[in-house]
Amino acid sequence: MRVLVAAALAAMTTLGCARAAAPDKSVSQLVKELGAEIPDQRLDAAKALAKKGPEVAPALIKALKDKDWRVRRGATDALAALKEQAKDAVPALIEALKDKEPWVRDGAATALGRIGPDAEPAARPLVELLKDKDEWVRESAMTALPQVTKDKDILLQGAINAVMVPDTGWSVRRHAMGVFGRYAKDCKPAVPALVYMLEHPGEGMWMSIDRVAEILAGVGEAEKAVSLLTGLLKSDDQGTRHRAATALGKLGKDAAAALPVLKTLAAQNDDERLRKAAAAAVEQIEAKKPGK
Amino acid sequence: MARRRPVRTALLWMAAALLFPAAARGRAVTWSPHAVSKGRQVNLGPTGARGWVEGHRIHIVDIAPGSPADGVLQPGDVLLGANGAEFAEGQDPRVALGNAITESETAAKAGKLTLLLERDGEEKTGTLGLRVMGSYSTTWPFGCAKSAKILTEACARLAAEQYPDGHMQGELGMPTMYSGLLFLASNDARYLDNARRAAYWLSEQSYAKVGLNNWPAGYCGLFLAEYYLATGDRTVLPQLEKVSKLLTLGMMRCGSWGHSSPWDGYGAVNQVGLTCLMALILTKECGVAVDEAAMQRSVTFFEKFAGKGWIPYGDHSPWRGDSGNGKNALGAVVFQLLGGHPDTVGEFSRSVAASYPYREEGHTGCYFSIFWGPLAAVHAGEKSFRTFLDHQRWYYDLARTHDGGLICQPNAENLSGRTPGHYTWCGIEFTTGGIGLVYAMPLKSLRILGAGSSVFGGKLPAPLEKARTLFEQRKWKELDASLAGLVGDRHANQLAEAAKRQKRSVELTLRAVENHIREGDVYRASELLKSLERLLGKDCPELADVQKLLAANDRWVEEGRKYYEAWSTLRDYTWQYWHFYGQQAKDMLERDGPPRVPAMWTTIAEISEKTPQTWKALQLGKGDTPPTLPKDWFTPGFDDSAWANAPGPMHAGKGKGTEWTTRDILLRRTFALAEPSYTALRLKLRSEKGQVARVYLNGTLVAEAHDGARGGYASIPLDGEAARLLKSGRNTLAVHCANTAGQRQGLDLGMEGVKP
Repeated sequence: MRVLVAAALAAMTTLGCARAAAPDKSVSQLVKELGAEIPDQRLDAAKALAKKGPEVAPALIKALKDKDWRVRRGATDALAALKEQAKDAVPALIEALKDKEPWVRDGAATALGRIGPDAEPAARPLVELLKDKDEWVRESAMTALPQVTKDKDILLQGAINAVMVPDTGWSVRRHAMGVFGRYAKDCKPAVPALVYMLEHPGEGMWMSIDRVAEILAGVGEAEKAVSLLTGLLKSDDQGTRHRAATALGKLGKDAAAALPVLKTLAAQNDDERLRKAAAAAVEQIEAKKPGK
Repeated sequence: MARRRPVRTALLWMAAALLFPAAARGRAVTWSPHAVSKGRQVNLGPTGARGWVEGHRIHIVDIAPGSPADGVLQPGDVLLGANGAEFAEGQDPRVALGNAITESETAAKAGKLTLLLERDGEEKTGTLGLRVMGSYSTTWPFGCAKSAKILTEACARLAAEQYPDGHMQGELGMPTMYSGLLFLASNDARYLDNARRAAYWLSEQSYAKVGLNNWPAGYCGLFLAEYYLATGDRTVLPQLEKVSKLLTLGMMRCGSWGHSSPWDGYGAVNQVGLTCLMALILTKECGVAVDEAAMQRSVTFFEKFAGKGWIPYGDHSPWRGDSGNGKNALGAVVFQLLGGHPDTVGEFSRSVAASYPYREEGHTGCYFSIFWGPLAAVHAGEKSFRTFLDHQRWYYDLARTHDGGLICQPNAENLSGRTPGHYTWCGIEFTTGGIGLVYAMPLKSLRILGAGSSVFGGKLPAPLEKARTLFEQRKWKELDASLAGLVGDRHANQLAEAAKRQKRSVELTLRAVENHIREGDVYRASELLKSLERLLGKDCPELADVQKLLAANDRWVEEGRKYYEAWSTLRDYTWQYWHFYGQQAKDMLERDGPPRVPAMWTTIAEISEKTPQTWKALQLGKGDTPPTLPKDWFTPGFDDSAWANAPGPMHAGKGKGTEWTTRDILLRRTFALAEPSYTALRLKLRSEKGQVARVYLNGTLVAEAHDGARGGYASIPLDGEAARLLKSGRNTLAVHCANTAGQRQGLDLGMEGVKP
């Protein structure tokens, strides 16, 4: 049976669905194709260029200045595919972080991340890029930052910048939360950012309200966390109310101040989900050992 | 997999035992050892066979009873080639088989498909007789008779599967929505009633019950909006208002939608989001209020992906080097509907057209890509569209079933076992509706298929506004008069066409209601009538006659519903009825379940189709001259002891029954009744063209029937008074039949009645 599946799979992937192998085209031809109209064709050209090895880097550095944004973005894709072999392009890519086209800034950030520790000079510029108005750019910068540096303070600063942009959604906050979670004990400087997240829960927060509160409590800001969560119990959003109650429960004894409100909510009948979450939280807070 | 089979079989029988307690016990299960569990089978086009692809060979695993492959292929056969060419090593045999089927279905090949196969270690050839579908035109599905035929067959197939209340079996209402779209897209008045019932069923669904569920809400909005824009049926607008509110509540801040509400689940799912946006755009066109700011947020969100890559799963950067599960195709259609975004439509549609070799890829690509790809690629320019579609022609031909359905094929993800049965997610109604849209493209009958703005949406110039009001009031004569001054106007034409279709559909549906009542399928009739009452109003005089007829027979409604309830329950156990277990379930239902049509009509005098009935017969007359008949031969008191004993049926030539050699024949027969109270009587008469049959009941002429019915026995309802002719004890049925045409002759007669 297994053999049959494998054989059938091979038939479908190698025959029915095979992508055409990149023909052996010249570097200049491929650079031109970086500007092709179909995004996948541009990507194919970028991959074909990367296959040729680091000697294509100068051509790509030049292409980063092309007047067509597609070519510039394609050049970042090719450099990203070259990974650490593209380290000579770091200064040019740092410059490309200021490209007027967001999709090029996005590509430059990604390429710097793929180059890795050799791109450490890009760390500070990436932290600045995390204030970019384009969400995809911030997402890519937030992904790239931990790839180019292990410097805790720089990483935290980047995450702080990223989450404090108004209307940031899940795509950015999930990466930032990764950083806050990893350096939870060192998040004292991130308190304003964490508070900002609880004040602007939005939907980028739909899985991390409790984690943010825990991190705040861990750096001695439990009182602040409890007061913000108590405020969220009155949110217009059903999910936020429910998650705030759950988060208060997870804080255990630290959330004792919220008990009166939670007890009222555990007795109401308007929102069943909130009632259950509040009742569970009351139980956790009143437990001898802090519940997890 | 081998272990699962008995379990499913057991489940099926448990279901049967619950449904038909007495019948299910003690019956032997018969099933093929080759039937493979759900999923993974490649449909082999209209041959009716399904198989496994192994390298460049295809293993036959399942054959639909009654299909062209039935009796020619066997499970276990290995297909090696088709139409004289072996499948080449290193090539996908599906492509070769698909192309061979395309070739065989042409008039030149007369439907002959020759297959080279291996059975028990020996090579053999098998020849299948496919139906001749003709050739594809070079511009298919445009200007293509074969495509049009495929569309008609798909609609007929869906109509046969639709439950009388309008829904289709399957998850989330998706099959109902896609089938409804296809009924509507066909532009065919015969299927307007099907679309209407689907719309009415959907407009009674509450999506709040299951939380906010954006899949059904989005598709419901999409279909109901298309339905309103095509038909002007305002009764669905309240549901569209609800859907509009639900979709606004269900939207995420980023501008897309998730599986369900923003506070449940795991964030945006753009496959859902694009349909929800499409629903909002069309709902707005219907004149229903939508949250403009929310809609704009969504437009901005999706437009950003154009030209960057593939619209990704959720709220993040574009996907690259993937085929996007049909989301760029949906994107192209969305921006085409919006209008004023030619660059965006171009970017999305050209990315779809350029991805022609990879349309099967992805998690849901095997259906959403297949459904929506062509609808988008058509905007990429003629050459791109041709490359796109011609490259996949084999796929679309292999997707066809022998009975007119259209079904998706497993893709690499399904075959790898990650989502083995996923390609059959919602059943054949879902895929027939979805794939069928491709063949409906030339009709441009839906907004998603390129129809222009609708006459039923938005403000119109005064004369058209007036005409639209007349349409809504169903004042046909006044409408015609007011449209006479607007000849050539696109909207006026649409109004005239919609009026024509509605009139025709009402006429056909009324006739169907009447037929269903007469045939005893009163439940179906009641559902059809319910939909007409909703469309026309309960007090509409056109409905009065059938309303009366239904009221007189309404006790059969609940009886009739039982069949569909049993079928629906069985189908929940069987995944897919075209699959082996489904066939088993269908057989089981036919044999042991409640009858499809309740036994409203009971036999009073049986026909001779199964058991020959004995008549007294007198044959007389030759040539053109009518013979003189014995006096009072048809009365109960007549002495027929000298007549011949004649088992039915009567026919020219030898064979079962009695040979009838003369011009005329007189037949008499008696039957005993203990309780003669019947509310209605009908004759079952088999006669032939050119024959006149006069039927007497207890000495009174009750019917004079000219010619025969095509395909066997005609049901002839008798006048209400006829039932009073019956008496307890002996009754006499007599018939005189004259064959005036002198061609083939034949006669049989029976009688049925409805008990109070």
